[in-house]
Amino acid sequence: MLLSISSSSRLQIRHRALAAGVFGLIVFAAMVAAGNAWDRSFPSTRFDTPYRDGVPDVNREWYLASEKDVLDYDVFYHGWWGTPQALRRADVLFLGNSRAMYAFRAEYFQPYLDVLGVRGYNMALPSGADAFPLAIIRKYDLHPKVVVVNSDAFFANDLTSFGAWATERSDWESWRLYYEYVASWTARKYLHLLLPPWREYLLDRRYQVMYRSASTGSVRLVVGEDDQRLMTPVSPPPISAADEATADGMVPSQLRNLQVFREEVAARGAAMVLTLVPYGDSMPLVLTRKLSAISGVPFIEEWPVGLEGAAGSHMNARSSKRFLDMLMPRLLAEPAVKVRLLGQPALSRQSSDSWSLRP
Amino acid sequence: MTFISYAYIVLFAVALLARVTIGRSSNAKPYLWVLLALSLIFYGWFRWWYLLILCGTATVDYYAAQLLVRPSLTARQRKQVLAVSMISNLGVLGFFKYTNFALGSIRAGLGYFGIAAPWQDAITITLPIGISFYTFQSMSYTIDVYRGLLTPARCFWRFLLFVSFFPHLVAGPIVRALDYLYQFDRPRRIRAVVVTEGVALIARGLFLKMVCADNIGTFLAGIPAISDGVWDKGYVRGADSATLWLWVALFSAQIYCDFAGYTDIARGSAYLLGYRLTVNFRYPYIASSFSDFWRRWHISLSSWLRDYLYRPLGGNQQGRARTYLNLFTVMLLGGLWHGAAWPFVLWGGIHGTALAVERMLGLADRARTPATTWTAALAQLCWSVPYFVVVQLVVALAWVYFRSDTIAHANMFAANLFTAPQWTLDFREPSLRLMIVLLLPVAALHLRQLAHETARFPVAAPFERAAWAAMMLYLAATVYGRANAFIYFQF
Repeated sequence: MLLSISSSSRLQIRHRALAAGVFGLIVFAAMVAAGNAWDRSFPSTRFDTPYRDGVPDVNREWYLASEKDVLDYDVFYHGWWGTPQALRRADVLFLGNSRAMYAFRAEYFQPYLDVLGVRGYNMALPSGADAFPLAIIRKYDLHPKVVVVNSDAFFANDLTSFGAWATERSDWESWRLYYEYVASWTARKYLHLLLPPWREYLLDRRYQVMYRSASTGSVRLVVGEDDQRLMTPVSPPPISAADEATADGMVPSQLRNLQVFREEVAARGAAMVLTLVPYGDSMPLVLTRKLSAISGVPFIEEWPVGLEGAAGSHMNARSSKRFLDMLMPRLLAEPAVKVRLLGQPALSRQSSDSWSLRP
Repeated sequence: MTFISYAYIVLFAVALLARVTIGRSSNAKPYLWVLLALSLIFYGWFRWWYLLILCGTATVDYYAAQLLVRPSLTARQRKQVLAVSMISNLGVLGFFKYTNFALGSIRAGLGYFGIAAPWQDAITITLPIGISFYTFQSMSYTIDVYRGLLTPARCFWRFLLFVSFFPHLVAGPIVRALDYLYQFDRPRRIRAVVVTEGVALIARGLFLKMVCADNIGTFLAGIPAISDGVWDKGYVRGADSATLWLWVALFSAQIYCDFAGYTDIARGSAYLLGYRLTVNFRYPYIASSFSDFWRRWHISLSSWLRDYLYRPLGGNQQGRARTYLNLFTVMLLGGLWHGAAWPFVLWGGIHGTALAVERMLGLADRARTPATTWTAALAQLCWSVPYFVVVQLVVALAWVYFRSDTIAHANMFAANLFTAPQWTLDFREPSLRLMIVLLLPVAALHLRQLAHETARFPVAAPFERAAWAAMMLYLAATVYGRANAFIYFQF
């Protein structure tokens, strides 16, 4: 037997479906309104999330460097946002890990460099070690005059997981990944002005969104810049026998990697200087002193008391200024640095115009 | 491209635009061309050279099917043509998916006898996403033409659209040409019922994937190079069994939400574009037996294995021993289909053994037989509830092998599950509380279906469905987790 539906029943079904669709929209609108009302009525549930009024969109100057994932490695390796050109223009290159990213802020080091008419660039990276910056220096044939290295866990001959992934990705894969993140962040930035980010509230957890200057490498955190945690209660930090022993064990391999790095940098006409961004751990200080003593690479040691920041070792802007106000005069007074920045022109470099945006 | 991406939103918007403009009639060729182009963009978005493999296998199968219907061909020649098609599909699948597995296994086997293999490292082979799905689709087409069940597609690009149609391309459901090809010529009017149904499916899929699966996935696996997950702690001897059972429950929920969510989005997207895809999940965690589980879990794969592997092997027509062997073999190969690694094979082996034992003891029939008197009903309840628990526990235990990276790890995890609990869970931890809350929708979905199947509890009315869809959409926009790749993409 064939079942058939009369045209009037069909019409009824259609109208019911339409009404159900409209009802669904009303329920959704009601939830949006109720959610917003709750969010505004009980501000105790609110805390700083990255979704706030006034956060700028990603633009040519401030690119998205970290948003749930670390994106910086892709930006540098695949040359997004004109980073190769900016790197080629830099006379002083700051390298290191995330502590260096927060410590070497262009707004505080550049005034010192402006006096000499030179540019600095902060290419420190989260978990940053030597192999990835070396790959970037070679890939873009960089010729800085001075390379300042935060030697904290730097000379490990390590590409890091982020670096390995970025180098394995093709330009197309990297572009897809990177701009999907940018689209996602931009959409959510506006979406959560309307819909509260309940997950963040439920988990009582915020995550960082970081912008970075394409021309100087300076960082800007959308949220979580500072939890005012004390990083350096005393100066100099107490050094234990265990620190000495650990450092002694690390010296041979780190020294080997340091030599390789120094040779590459020297071949490009740059002077290398070691420094250490101070935080709670004193072992890197011992290690860096030993590396400097053996290799002869100058080490500028500054350990101001009372530096503060977030996550235990990421300096806030105020502490960065304090640190750089002490470090920069000493850096510029360093004889090797002086020679490179004042007395001797850098090795010939190609015109930045000859470089394409995407290698 | 994945469904949970902004690129997909753009692609789907273009497809919808085509649907409402040039895709309103039954035989709108330009619309089909647009769908084909978008499908190729969807797949090529991962890596452009994937398209070469897709189009290559599709070309072989298309022409094989054209040859198979030639009356001049002898039976032997038809077999040869079918063999060429099978070899090309299985050859491509075997090369990309199983080369390293085979080399690694041979090397390990030789090593066991003290012989060093001449090769040491695995070859770098990138597995094209969705290859297991579309090769099976393509194979079913030629086999059905060979069996005389299907007339070949009229032209190549229609066949290519069948294979590459983006909603089902990379993670199924595994669509059969029999269920799909005729839809090209079917009237495709835009109806409110279809639109609301499609949107409701997409909303449920987004909720299951973005809220449940992604949050649980990040909790269990962590974020690569940033944070550790909790699952791997189960590989350490002496881990708390109570905690591990919770992780197993969470993974059971995650894999269901991930895959069923994907299927819902696929079906909803296809529905809005004027096509119907097969149902792939029917609430598997209320299965009363192992055979019932496979009628509810990844239905398109289990029915494919039944029709194109189990039955050709003889099915249940060649004696009891052969039936058990067939069941075991099919599930073992089903496990291998999922991934080229021994834990997957073992996972398939567990299910194969369970199915064979169940059949041997007649347990599935007993669970299915309707009771006529209240005493019989009571007796059946006393029997079926414990058996249901056993089935679900074995299914959960098998997930440990599915989720673990090596058999040694899986064995350790499984052994830890059967030690005395230490109750080390800290329920004050917000993320743990959220995880437990996320189990509730999965449980609620299954319980409602159970009530419907056993007590004729009514299915959701359109207004109720619309309200649920709105709520799920709201939650998907506010409680979404960190985007994780669909688990089944790796297969």
